[in-house]
Amino acid sequence: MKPNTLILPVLIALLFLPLIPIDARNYLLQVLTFLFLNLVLAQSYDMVGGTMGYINLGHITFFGVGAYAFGILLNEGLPFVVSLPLAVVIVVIFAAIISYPFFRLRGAYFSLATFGLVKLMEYATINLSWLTGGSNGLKIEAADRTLQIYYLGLIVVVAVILCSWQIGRSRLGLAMKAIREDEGVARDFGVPTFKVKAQAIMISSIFPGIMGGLYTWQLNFIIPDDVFGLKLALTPIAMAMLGGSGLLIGPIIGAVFLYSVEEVIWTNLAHLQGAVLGLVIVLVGLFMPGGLARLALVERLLSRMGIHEEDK
Amino acid sequence: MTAPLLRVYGVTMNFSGLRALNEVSFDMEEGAITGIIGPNGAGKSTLFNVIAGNFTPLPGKVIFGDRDITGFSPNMICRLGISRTYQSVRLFLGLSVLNNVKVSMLYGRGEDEIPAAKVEGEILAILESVHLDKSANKRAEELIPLDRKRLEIARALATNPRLLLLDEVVAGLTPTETLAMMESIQAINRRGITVLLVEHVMRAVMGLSHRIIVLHHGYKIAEGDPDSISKDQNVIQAYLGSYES
Amino acid sequence: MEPTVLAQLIINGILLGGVYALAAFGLSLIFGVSGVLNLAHGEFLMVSGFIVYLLFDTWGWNPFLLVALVTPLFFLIGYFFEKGLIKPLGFRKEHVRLASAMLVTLGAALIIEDVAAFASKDVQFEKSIDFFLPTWVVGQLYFPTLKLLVFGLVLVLIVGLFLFLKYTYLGLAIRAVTQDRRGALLNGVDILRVNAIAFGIGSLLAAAAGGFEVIHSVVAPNIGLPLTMKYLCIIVMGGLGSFLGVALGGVIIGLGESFVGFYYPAWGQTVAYLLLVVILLVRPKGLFGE
Repeated sequence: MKPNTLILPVLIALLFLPLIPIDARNYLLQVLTFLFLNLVLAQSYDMVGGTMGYINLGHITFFGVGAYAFGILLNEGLPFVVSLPLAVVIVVIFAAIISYPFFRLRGAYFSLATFGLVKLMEYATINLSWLTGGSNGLKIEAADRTLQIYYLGLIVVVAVILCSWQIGRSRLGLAMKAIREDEGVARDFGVPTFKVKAQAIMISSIFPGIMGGLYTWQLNFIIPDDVFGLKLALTPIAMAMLGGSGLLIGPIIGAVFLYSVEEVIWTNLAHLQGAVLGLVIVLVGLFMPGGLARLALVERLLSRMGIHEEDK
Repeated sequence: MTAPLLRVYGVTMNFSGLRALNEVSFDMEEGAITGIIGPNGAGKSTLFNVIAGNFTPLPGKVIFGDRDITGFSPNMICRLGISRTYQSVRLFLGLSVLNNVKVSMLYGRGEDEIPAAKVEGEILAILESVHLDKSANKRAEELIPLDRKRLEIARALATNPRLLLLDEVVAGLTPTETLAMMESIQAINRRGITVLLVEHVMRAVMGLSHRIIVLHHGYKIAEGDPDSISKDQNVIQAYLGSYES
Repeated sequence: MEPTVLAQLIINGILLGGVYALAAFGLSLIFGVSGVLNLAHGEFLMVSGFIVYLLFDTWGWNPFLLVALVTPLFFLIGYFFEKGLIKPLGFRKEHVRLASAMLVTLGAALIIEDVAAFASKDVQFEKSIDFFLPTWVVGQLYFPTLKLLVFGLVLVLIVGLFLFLKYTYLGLAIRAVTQDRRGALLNGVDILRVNAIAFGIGSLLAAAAGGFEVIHSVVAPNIGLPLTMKYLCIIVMGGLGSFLGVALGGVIIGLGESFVGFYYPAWGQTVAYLLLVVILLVRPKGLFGE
């Protein structure tokens, strides 16, 4: 992917945004931070879902585990700079553990099992109330950390995009794509498919793990339904598919587009958010399983901006 | 005389009561092209898959070089130096021609890895040898059938195999394309790669093979050079028995 | 554990499993014929229960009669759902088709659920409490009569489905398509029509289950997706395409929920998922899957 003319201006704008002295500054930052969250979830999901072809409907569990692990560690007295990395380590270990059983499944079976995992984690969180506070939720020391979280979130966004890009060019990425195209043949030609799948899902778990911690850090209080909820589980996946699964730019386009649509709906028809999400998903499924980025029109626009992608 | 590169020894395969292979044994010399033929249902595919590692014979042995590879996984067998193509041409359709070859080159070589800097050059050389160098950046799914088969061969060659297994590689090709493919295979063989081909198309097998093995109902019924095979009474019977002339 | 408690748990489990199995059969039929996992299946159940309740509330007719009236409607709804949303996906590559179908039905499920929640804001979902039958007591065992009646009807429907598949021409066509789509096509079976019909029948079964649910239990706008997940657990567990597997799967989950609900109430709803994950790990193709 050639560097294009848009990245630098956007990045600079985002960096300097908080300096603008407007009343709604905090609200705006939070809106953007939530966009960052969705974008990170979508992009990291797509590593396994798009590049490798395994639709991991349980991707959100990395976010939830990260959120709770961070909160619990913080409450144990560990400072932020220890809690957050440690929480991520826990998430990655979690990803490694589940990859053993779940990657024995393929296709729809894999997706169903991972979807079930979300509910399972939600119930586990509710029932292990001695650890997590159960349905009463988990509280941490309250403070307004909007500004720091905005910048940290921005860093994670840049990180996940860079990581995704690097994977796409790497040996691991090639193995992942081969698995997507024909796993049996990939294995026949020497690809250590199990190891590759485990590595892919572990890498993909890092970013939602970090965002989970930041989520708790921002909200100061989380409940199981927040972090393991159906909507948050499906929206990033819908974004990735809407934008173009398997392409670097896909989840970015999908996240920005869908998030904007949702913000508009939220301010006008708050109660029908689920229906809007549903409608988007139906339209994606019916008309463009390849996503926006693969529409001829959009492809032309993107290449004029200097963005070309192979191996879709 | 050097030891044979591949030894198939007493290979028997049973599938829920159906005997696909009955104590099939033969040797392959290094550098030779060996063809396996037989009427439909003779067990050619099964034998192919036993050698490729998809099936484990019971009983039976497959010896490659000085190593017993019976029961080894296809993954291991590839890295030990045996490469294959597929009857139903299984390419990485969404990837470029170049990347199709790159996968096997990066992962299928076993001990002799190629330094990163040389990879692309090696891939282009291989593509050139199968006349696909101009298509290197095309998506595999854009290729015509002949080129797809060539790509499968290129992918197999990228692992630097000592033995190449070709599964009905000229099936579905026009006579002209068949000749082109035969030339490619001969060129590959001249570079020192031993070839084992399972084939239905008589002209290709007869024209290419140094030695031919004939299977019928899971038994090896004949073995020899193309000339003597074409005159062998057992072989003629087997084919006449199955086909209407 | 006392034998009576054990027996009671078993009875409850089987009754529960029966209703699960009914809806799961519908889903299994749809998957077997058209290869689509209809994630909106549970929504059909919910909407059907909703409609039965509304009619009961408005007209006061016998709820079983209402179920008999409403259920056939869903054959048509399922039929046109397939024609409108699933058929257009027909010509895509296998795994793209599956993913697209999952997206489309998932989206539809979200829409239906949201609209139902919106529409029912002022209405309370509750059982038709007016329908009360005295509990049948045998010794120390309590047989909840209403649930038994429902179970009996469920059995009738399941047997009916079985006979239909086995002895009618259409049933034969359905079984043929399930086993070998191309073969059936080559033998003159109108695949497109069979797909739509299977969807119709499947949805009809879900609707029946929904009607029964609102009679002896509760129906709420948000039960759709969790129930669909549960049915998916059942059919995947039992092995896709296996009639016996679904029946067994339903009973296993029903029993599982009954027992777990007794000992560890909080974990009751996790049973389906846990069983699914465990079984898939041991037998990735399901109990009876090919």
